[in-house]
Amino acid sequence: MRAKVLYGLLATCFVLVLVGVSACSQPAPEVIREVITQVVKETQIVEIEGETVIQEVEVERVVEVTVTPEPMTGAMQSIPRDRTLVLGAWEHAAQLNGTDNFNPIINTASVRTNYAKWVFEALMYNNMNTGEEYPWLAESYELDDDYMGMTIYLRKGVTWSDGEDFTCTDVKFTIEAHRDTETAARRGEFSRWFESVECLDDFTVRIDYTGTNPRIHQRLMIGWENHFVIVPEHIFRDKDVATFTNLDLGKGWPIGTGPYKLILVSPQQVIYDRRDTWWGAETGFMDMPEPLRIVGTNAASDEAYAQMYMTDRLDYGGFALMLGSFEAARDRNPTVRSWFDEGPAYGAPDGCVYQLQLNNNRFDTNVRLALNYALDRQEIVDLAYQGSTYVKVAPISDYVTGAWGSIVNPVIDSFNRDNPSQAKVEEYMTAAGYAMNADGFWEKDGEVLEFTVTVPVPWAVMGPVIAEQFTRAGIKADEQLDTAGQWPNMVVNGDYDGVAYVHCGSNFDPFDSLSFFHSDCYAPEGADVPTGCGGMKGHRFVGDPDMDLAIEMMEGAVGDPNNPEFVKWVETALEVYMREMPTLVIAEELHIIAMNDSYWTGWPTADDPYVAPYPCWSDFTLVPYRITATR
Amino acid sequence: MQRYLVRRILQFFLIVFIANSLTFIVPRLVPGDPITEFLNNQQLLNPNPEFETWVADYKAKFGTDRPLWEQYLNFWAGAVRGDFGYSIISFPQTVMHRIGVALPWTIGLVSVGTLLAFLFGTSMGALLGWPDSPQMFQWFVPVLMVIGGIPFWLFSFVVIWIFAVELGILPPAGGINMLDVLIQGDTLQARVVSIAQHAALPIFVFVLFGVGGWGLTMRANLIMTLGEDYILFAHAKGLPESRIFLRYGVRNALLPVLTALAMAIGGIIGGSTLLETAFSYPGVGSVVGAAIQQRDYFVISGAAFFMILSSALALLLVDLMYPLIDPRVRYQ
Repeated sequence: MRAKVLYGLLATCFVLVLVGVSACSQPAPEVIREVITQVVKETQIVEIEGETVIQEVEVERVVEVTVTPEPMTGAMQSIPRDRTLVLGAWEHAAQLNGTDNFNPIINTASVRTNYAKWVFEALMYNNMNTGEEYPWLAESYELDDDYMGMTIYLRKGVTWSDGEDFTCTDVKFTIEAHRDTETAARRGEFSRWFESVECLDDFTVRIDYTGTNPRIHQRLMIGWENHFVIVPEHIFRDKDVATFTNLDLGKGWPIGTGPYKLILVSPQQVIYDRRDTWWGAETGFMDMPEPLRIVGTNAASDEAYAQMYMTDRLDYGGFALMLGSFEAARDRNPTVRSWFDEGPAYGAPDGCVYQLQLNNNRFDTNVRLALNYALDRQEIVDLAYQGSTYVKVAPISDYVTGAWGSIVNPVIDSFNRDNPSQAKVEEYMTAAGYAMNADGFWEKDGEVLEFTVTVPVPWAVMGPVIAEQFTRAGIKADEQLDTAGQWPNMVVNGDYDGVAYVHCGSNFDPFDSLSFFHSDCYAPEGADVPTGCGGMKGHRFVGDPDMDLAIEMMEGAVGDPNNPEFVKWVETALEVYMREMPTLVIAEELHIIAMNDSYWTGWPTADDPYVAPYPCWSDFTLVPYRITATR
Repeated sequence: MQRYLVRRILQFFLIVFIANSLTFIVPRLVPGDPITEFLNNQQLLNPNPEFETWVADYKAKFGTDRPLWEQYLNFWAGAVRGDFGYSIISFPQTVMHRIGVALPWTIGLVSVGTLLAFLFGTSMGALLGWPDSPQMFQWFVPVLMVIGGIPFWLFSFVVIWIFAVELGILPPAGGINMLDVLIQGDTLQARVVSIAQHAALPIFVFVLFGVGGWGLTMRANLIMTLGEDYILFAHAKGLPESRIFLRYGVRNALLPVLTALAMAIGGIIGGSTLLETAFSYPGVGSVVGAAIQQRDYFVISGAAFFMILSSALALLLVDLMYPLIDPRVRYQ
């Protein structure tokens, strides 16, 4: 009898807990009180024709009413799976980050990983593979001849989801909010460069810079991982941008110009439904995207994303898969593919290259060259990345070499730096004054050359291979896995030999990548690198006058492969780089973005590269307009 | 008795104070600064020419520009108000929001798992320890030990592979699939079913690994209890075996296990980081795991505060209950 009671109690507990969790997972609608003017019936004593009578009259009164906003889920329709696009977030996390805030000025995750990119739209999108621009909220823009400002011409007929017109005021407000809000992600660059923003009329924005800058417009007009989306001034204007969450489904927030509206937000899923009306379709600018619903979801690990692909629970995205997980997913589900159909290099370039960033104070040119020839890049690619990428020796990703290949490749190839050779190691170590000791290590003045390869966790696979290759060449190397995330500070204060991670510079022309090696970022041993020279700029390269000059000249001009002068500066800087090898670039960083043709097809691929394939990039916004349902 | 109560209550506050102080200080002893690190990563997306100013603004926002002792006082002042500030890695999300949305999931998963593991484990342990149980029960002892030796996460992958990938009957990850729920019309029933489906595999693994511990503890307790004189006396009186087993054996052997259950319930808030990560379960364990990896001081301190508080409360309740359960404590 008691056992029955006990089992009954436990079963009740189980159900209660489940129901409790269910209730807690969705906040109850908040009840609020509002003051409104309302027509109410009142009983009044009035005199009619000398007689006093009591009658009911209608009068306007200011009253307080209780309002129950729409629940967080709003009015939700049942939309079948084959009309729903399910996207994974660009992160490994059991909970989506930042789902309580859809203010893209202070919370970039809202558009990057939580997919509000279909609520808020950008001025322009572009194809990072080709450099082609897709005008969107802006029809065009002009840069001043002296690059001291720009003028943006906005599209007419664009409306916000609440019916208000989109105008210059919205663009001006957005730029100024980024510039003036303390914790805005883009505050630094915007406050450095954007002196004033004026509306010449409702559809013409004039921006004056604080100085000459031929590239700063890219921050507004071109989006990659960096989204610049426009927010509605009429919603934001009386709010504190630094704290405004812009999330109240009952009020229809977030309000955007995009074809989707947010209908549900939880740490597990964010769900957007297609709006019935969208300015793009109404003006004939673009057909409505096919998916009726877009779901952003997440998983905590590579394996979990692979399992979701195996079971058709994901159409696209998630964090890039490791080669083994991708191949396992594809074996189970043949509709899964990636940028390239054939592997093992399935992934697409992302503008970054893997590198061993050197502390140049500790290694002169001869030692750097010896280290370069001690590296067997192909072996690193094969062992660390299972052949899923390819060798690179210069800090210029294939995104850049696509347009600049015929200019930069001859310079890079002429130095033949990807050529592992013990004879070359000996030549350069000897030139540096080292001799091989009895233990087989290079030694100078009684001190063995030691090298610690610091590897942050995301790039952990490179560390052991690099250390082994150096040791094989007589450089006493060890690997230090940086689980505590110390490397950014080490780079700033110079307490490192080499850090194996990525070099992310240019996306458009070689300037950004090469600018990292300007002598402005030099600091002697023991001193911190100058302000703004942390991370990938912290090479402590003493610099070279030719390179400095070339970088300065490039900085003041638009990167144009048809401009012979600009090409000359690129060649000069690149020649110095290849001669000095201030960092050791290893391979292209390729990401295996999985895509599943089970429900949708028409993804961006190497065969149809209409945008870069990264779901966390701004240009991915164009994908729903191109995909079609398979069922 | 009064002194006993006062001593235990003071002990509770001391535990909360010391444990929280340690969780405040230890992460901050690790060299480096997570805010600079976070902004360095942000720099990859949004280069900031005035990086140092940016860092200073953020440090002021998080209060880490203040001396450590001031931060420590602010932590306690915030803890009293239930305000642990912002998460570093998920800024501008607050710590309370991060924990608040994760807590129901963890409570649901771990409490159900703990209760089921306790129920099955103690029942099995009792049967294992009873000399008259069928011989087949003895096979469970090595089985439980073997299962207990397999790493949690590895077993999770095996279970996911079998039930989610091969058989396709349960979801591989997550806590709820609102997509499915909406397709079914967003009813409470659809939500409960989806939650139960997602919780089934992690609970199964949790129970499987918990059963061993509870079972072996209960078995040992029962064997000790069976050696007591009152059991011999019950046999001598000729009482039925079932009565001796349940009333004299299990009931007395269960006392220390109940104490452990109270402690386990107190530890529920901590969740199970590995389990939640393996199943992408959106609970506190996942939040804490991510926070530790990325040194999100504020989330670590906030989550630890609640874990410590609940464990200490459970300990206090057990201490307060003991004199009622065991008169010897009262006499001491």
